[in-house]
Amino acid sequence: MSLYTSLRSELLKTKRTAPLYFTFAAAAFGPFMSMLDLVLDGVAEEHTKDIFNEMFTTKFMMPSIVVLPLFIILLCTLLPHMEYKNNTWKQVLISPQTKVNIFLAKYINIQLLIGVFLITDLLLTTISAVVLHITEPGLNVLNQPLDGYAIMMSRLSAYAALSGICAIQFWLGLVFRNFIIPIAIGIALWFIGSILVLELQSDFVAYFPYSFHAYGKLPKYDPLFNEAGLTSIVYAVIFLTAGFLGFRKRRLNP
Amino acid sequence: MNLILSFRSEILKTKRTSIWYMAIVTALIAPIYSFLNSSAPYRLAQIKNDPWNFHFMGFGGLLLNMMILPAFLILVCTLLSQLEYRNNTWKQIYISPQPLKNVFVSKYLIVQLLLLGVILLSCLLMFGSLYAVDSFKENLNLSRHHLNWEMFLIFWGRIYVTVLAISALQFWLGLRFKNFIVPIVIGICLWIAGAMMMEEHQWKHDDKYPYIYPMRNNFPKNPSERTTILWGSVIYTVIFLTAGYIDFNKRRSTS
Repeated sequence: MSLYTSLRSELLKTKRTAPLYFTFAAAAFGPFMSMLDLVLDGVAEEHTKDIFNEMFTTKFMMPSIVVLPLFIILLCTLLPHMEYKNNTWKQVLISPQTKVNIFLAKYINIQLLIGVFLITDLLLTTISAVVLHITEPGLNVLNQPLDGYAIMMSRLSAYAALSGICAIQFWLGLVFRNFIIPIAIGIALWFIGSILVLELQSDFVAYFPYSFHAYGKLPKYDPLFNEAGLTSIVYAVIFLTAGFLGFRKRRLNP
Repeated sequence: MNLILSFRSEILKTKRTSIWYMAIVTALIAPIYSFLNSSAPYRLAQIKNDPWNFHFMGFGGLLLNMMILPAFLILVCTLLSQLEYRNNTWKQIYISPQPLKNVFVSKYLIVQLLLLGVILLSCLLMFGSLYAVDSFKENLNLSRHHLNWEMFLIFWGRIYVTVLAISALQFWLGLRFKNFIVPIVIGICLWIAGAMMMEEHQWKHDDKYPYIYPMRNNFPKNPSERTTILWGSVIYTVIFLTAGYIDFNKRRSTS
């Protein structure tokens, strides 16, 4: 079977299951909170001129620091756990597809769901902008200029900064049968990484992949965000390779 | 079977499971953070004047209260009921010669045991982390300073009471849903929403939202608010446990 066929089978497995609904729910959280904030509290005077852009960039900071990392940690546990729960690992491993394809198809499936998360977030933010346009006609939100490049870069930076976490969590999700271990490790490391940047402002954060997502929040680290994204991608390659080497041995003792 | 026997059987079930290891790891986070925080150069100047009280009623306790314990409860309440779901043992429990309320209460007591265990172990390890700061970073003259035990007990007691409501609601959710991701996601969303409502939106009804209580305990709008949230937490605990038990009882009759 080719990678494409393996990927299709993975997509089929996730169809109408919790991961897909979970993706939509997680993606809706940020725009929903942002809309509540804007509709209930109104828009502060200093933000009225560029609120359309801010909804897509500044307001995306909370999802990129909190929601997206937690979503990735849970998703990377939930997807491999589907095989454990249904006792289908042996079935997967004896099917006529190479281990590389199984491994990559599962990883690409996670990336697609992250893509769905980002697109849903964009769509729902657009809807919340329309709601704000209607509720606050004076702001003329939809007629304000939109910086597409900045919006795209905010998503790409967040995605790149989290790619390291994604690879590590994917590996952990495959290794541990007990779902709580990868989730607990992920949440604990995410806490530690966030505190190291936001509270302790340690120099160690340059090497800690669970810290990169919080770089955009502080002016001290903001210029290093792109560099952190590249480091995160390098981590992703390393951990995916390590993960695959471990996964390759799985057939002997599944 | 009486409650003690039910409780013992619950302890037996959790023995050597990941729950206890997770509790130990959770208890380590606050002392390690306190050590890092207290030994930072800008903190050392502050801590020197009153090391015991600053260390025990400082950022480690705050972190434990606002972040670590809610996250721990969300995970542990889910995991506890997943033990039954994963092993397909709910029916076995229903037909065992023990009243349903004993099963429910004994499971909740396990959550409380773990919660108290984490708080006590964290507290003990905080002594270790303060001695570590004193030994490895800066001489704090610990013997010349004293811990205000009354304040200490109030501070750590409040930590326990403010997370009680979260423990009751998550316990109910954990029992309710077969899919482990549902209670975890609901818990995390309610918790993040609480943090945002308090921090970003200055929500005026935050004394009615149990996931904000641990944060409001440390950053109250006024001193009297602490009493309100402590009572609020206890009342919510009773409400959620009652609702949870009614739901649990109903589910047995339909399963």
